[in-house]
Parts: sequence; structure tokens; C-alpha cells
Amino acid sequence: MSDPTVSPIPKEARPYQGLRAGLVTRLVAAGIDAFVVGGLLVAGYVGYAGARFLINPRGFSAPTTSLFRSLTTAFFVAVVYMAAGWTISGRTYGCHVLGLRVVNFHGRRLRLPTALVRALFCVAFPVGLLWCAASRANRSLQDVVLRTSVVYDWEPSAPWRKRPVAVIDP
Amino acid sequence: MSLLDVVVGASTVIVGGTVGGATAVARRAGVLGAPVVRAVLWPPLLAPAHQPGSWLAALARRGGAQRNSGSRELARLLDALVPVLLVEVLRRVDLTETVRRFVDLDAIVADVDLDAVAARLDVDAVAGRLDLNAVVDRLDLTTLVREKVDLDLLVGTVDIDAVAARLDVDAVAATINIDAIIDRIDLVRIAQEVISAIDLPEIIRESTGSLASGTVRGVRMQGIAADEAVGRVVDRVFMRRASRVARAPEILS
Repeated sequence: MSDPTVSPIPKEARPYQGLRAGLVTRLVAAGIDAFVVGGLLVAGYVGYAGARFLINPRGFSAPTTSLFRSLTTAFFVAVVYMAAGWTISGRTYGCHVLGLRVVNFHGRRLRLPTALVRALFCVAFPVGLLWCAASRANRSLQDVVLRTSVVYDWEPSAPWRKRPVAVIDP
Repeated sequence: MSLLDVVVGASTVIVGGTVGGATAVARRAGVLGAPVVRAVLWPPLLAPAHQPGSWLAALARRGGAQRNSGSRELARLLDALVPVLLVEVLRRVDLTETVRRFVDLDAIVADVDLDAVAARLDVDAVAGRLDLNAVVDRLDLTTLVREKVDLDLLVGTVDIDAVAARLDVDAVAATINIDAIIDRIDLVRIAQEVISAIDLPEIIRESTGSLASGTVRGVRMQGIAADEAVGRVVDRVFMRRASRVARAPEILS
């Protein structure tokens, strides 16, 4: 007899729900997140320039900054973006598009301190993601250190509203 | 030992001996004196009417007639007296107790032809007086039927189709409490099973889904497939035999 539970997830995707995501999916999600961060920076820059134009349109000139300040700003924006996403819903926009969710060891969402640390770790040492391919459990270096997991979760709403996400160890 | 018994015994011996002796003497005398008696009673020189033997015969005939008459009188007297005497006797005697004590009823009944009695018995009249309701009330018909009647054989001979044809289904259905039946049904579970069986979410996606949602779904599935492919390649490089994903996921309770 078929599973009587009603689920919006397509049948072909149901067997993968709760499994740790692999390298390709996480790289694509990270790429989308980078694109989003870039968009936020561009939007911020345009907003800042627009404000300066409104304040002094005659003396307006495109704002410039040093590379260090740009990178620092980008670093800060990326960390805040990821930490906020992981804390609120367990996913950033890239995770949302690829159907991923970041959870802690108990299958629940990250708390703010853990999310901040993980965001700092991911932005400062992005190559740690490549460990996901070598790991038999599909865990990045950040996941190993902080005991987190990135799992397939196509549910549109956060599952810990009803129950924690299952993390399956092979 | 009483004097009476001695006297009776002596008298018996004397009388018995005397009678026996007289009988013997008479028998001897009869054998020896028969010719003499014939000559005396029937002298050959006298006419038969004057012979003493004739006189004796006439006397015998008169005596016989008198005796017969007396017997008839005695019989009539007894016919009148015996019933009265018998009634008086029976009134003073418990005949039932007497019969019970002195009469062997079993031996008497054993000689009775019961078949002949039964043949003369009017069974219809007896049955007509029988209270069948009282008889039935004393019977446990349920136990009798259960033990003696082969219900399976009886039911097997029943034409169920004919019974069903005579059944008013509408009247039966009208007595059914539909609400009570529905209350016992888990409609939610049934609905979930129907929705899962027909894959309603997929139908909704196909009917309402946009190009973007279909693209996202495709990208996700492609990503999963790519993950598995990369995992297999890496496992082969490292010569790992066990697969990375051991089993399907389960939701924590």
C-alpha cells in the first residue's frame, strides 16, 4: 500500500530527503549565494551613490573605496547574509534554490553563535567545502568542526516547526 | 406338644386305618360277592318290575332328580347371598393392599399381550387430549436443534437468491445509521491515501507550475545525480566498497 502521507515533494525526490548533500549541489548553492552577496553589494553601492547624489547632485561623483575596504565589506555582508539565513530558516537563497538546509547535530536549526562562527569559517576558508567530496559522510571541514550538516530538504517551510530534520549517517 | 394334637393324630390314624381297612374289605367283598348281589337284586325268576334292582333304580332316579332340584335351589340361594356377602367382606377388607401383598402383578402383566392392547388403542383420541404447549415448554428446543439438526445441510438447501430477490433492500438501507458508520471511518486517512495514490501534489504542479518551478526541480534532481556521480568517482579512487548513502531517510520522532 502506498505511503498515505500527503507530501508536496515529488516522488522521485522523496528517498533523498534528509541525506547529506554532495559537493556539486553545495558548490552551486554557494555560487548562487556569492551572486546574491555581489548583488547586495552592488545594490548597497548604488544606494550609497544615489544617496550622495540626492544630497549633493552638483558635486556628485561616484564613490570610490580601496580594495581592502571592498573586501572587508563583502566579507561582512556575506557573513551576515549567511548567519541570518541559517538562523532564521536554516537556508540561504542558494540553499533555497537547490533544496538544501543547514542543521545542527540534532537536526534542528543553528543558533546564532553557531551560525556566525560557521559563516565566518565558510567565508574565511571556502576551500573547506571541497572536503565534502572526500568525506564518506559528505561533510565539509566546517561541518566536521562545528558538527553541522547540509541536507536535502525540499520542504518549503522549516521542518522544526513540526519536527527536526533527520540526518542520516551512512 | 398339645393334647389336642395327640388326639387328632390318634383319630386320624384310627379313622384312616378304619377307612382303609373298610375299603380293602369292601373291595374284597365286592369281588367275592358280586354274583350274589346280582342274584339278590335281579332274581331271574321275577319280572323286571318286581325285581329289587328295579326298585333301587327307581329310587336312584328319584334321588337324582331331587338332588338336581336341590342343587338349583342352592345355586339360586347362593346367587342372592354371595354378592351381598362379597360386598360386606370387601367393605371390611383393603382389597388394594391385599392384591399388592399377595398378587404377583409382574407375572400377570407379563402374560398380557401389549401389542393387542396397543392395536386397540385410539391414538388420535389420546393425542387430542395431549397439551402440546406444555410439552414444548418443557423442552430446550435450542439445545435440541443445535445437537440434533445439521444446520449447514439445511442452509445449503436454501435458495439464497430467491431470498435475496424478496428482500426489500431499500427498507433495510433505511434502517442503517449512516452517520454512525461514517463516524467509525477514518476519513482523514482515507483521503490521505487517495491523495497519495493519485499523486495530487504532482497534478497540482503540472497544472499550476511555472517554467521556473519546473526548472528548479530539474536543477535539483540534476544536482543530486551529480552528487552521487562525484561520490562514486571519489569512492572508486579511494577504493571504497561501501556506498555513501546506506539507506533511505527516516524522520526523527
